Amino acid sequence: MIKFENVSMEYSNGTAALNNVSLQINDGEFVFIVGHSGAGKTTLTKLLICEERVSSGRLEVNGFRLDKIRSWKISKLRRTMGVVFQDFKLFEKMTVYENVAFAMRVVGAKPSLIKKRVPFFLDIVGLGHKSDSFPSELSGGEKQRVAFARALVNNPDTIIADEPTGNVDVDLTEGIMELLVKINKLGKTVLVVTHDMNIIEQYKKRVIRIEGGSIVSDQIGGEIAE
Amino acid sequence: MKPSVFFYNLGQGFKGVARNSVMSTASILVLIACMILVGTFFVVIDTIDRNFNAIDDLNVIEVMMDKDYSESQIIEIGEKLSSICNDSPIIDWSSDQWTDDIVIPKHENFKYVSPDEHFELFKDKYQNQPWLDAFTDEHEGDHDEGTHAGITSSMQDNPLRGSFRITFINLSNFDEVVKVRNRIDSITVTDANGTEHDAIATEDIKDYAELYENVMSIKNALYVAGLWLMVIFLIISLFVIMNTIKLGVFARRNEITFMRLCGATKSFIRMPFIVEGVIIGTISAAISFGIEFYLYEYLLKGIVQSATGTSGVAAITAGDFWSDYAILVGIGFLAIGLFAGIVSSSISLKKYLKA
Repeated sequence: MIKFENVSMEYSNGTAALNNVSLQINDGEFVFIVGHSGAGKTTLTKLLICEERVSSGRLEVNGFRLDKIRSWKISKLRRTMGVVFQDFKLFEKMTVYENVAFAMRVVGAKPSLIKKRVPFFLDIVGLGHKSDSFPSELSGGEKQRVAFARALVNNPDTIIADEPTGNVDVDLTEGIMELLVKINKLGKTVLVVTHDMNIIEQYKKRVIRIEGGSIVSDQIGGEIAE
Repeated sequence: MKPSVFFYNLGQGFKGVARNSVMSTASILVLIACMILVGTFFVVIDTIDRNFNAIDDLNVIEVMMDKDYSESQIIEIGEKLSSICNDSPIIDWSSDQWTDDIVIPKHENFKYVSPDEHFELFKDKYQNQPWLDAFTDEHEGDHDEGTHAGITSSMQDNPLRGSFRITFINLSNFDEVVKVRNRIDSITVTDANGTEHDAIATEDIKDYAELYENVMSIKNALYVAGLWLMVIFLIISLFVIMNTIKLGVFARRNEITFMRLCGATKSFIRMPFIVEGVIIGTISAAISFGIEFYLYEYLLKGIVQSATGTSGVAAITAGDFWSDYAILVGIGFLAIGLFAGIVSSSISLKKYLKA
């Protein structure tokens, strides 16, 4: 569960990024976070993965109180989340298999577990046959799928996707969204940061709109969320 | 730490060194220079120590008696000297070794050497020299063999003078030797008219205080210079290794960011770079150890042997520095290497490990 209670965040240069934000996202929800550039979307996701700290208010994510979390616990928090970056952040010198395995290796997973789980998640994203390929040999959509497999492989509770359709063709957008829905059906909480209004309208999920650091609307399929 | 994580980090450390081979080599060379310099300074200091301690009669003050002094005057001076020695904590002066029937105290650490005895010592020292025969023939004619005319010379033409030899048992406190020497300088003797005057001219006191002080000041200067050079080279080494590791960190900055966001612990992220630093440090230590051994075993010993050979005098000795200190040198080099490697890699990563 993710719970913001009167959360404000101000950068060290004095810029107020979030003002008194309160919201709750329950386990297993699928949520779009939308807003213009500079609205505070990125700050909100940075707070969730503890790349930035709240200035005031109470923030709870997957059982961790981020407003008072100690630095040695941050790595534990991050293991409960999988982040898919807009630019994929794949390693060009690693194969598809190695890219996904790397996410497991850095959290100290046993080699035997890595051998089991990586092929399984590559199959889920439909790339089992490309495990020996390098990122340069993949299409944009395939790279995005590798990024999803990598985010999923450590079995996180929450998946955060930052503009997942921003770098792919319109044709591939639907495939990526279907993959996200599939992940959500696995029981994961999915947060999609986007400004693509077409997919928001098409998928009829909860939409949280941020403007000027404040939540201006919170709707499910067009209705106000409770 | 799990074995899989340990071996992964070890492998990554070696890959890091290989990936940055040019900078890694530069780091190793600078670190070697630092260690060799430090090692050589300490070998030189140790060699000075050993040779200084090996100088004959280093712990002896010899007070030469004027040839004109009468027996009673020499006894008077001897009593005053023995009184000074009795006060000194660095002369082993056990009263039970005194005998009442001998006017001048005879003691292994305090004794009077007559001109005759000096002459015998002189002959012993130069017994193989061809010129000695002519010299002794000329002087021994007057020598009344088998008798010792008290404490003054029995040979009228003997040019040597009598002396008191004071032997110190502990040279660790050379300041005390200097104190004794200065007190000897102020001893007075009573002449035939009953007036007292200075008994011993400064040039008649033969000791190694000046030599000792000079050598010690050279040694201390070398020691200070060695320490400073070590500090300077260590700082340079830290900078070079830091830059080497920073290059590796920069090349892997995306990996590091991803690792952080995946939930890798700081120690896990830091470990390959620390291993890289440790590898650089260990390689440098091993090479330095080898070079230092070569320098000591072949170069220093060679120089010592050639110096000894040409002068005909065993002026300096290389000693057994290596057998005494090999383990210490190895551990010292390894410690310097590990310190430089760990500190520089930790500093290099600081920026990339913020929460």
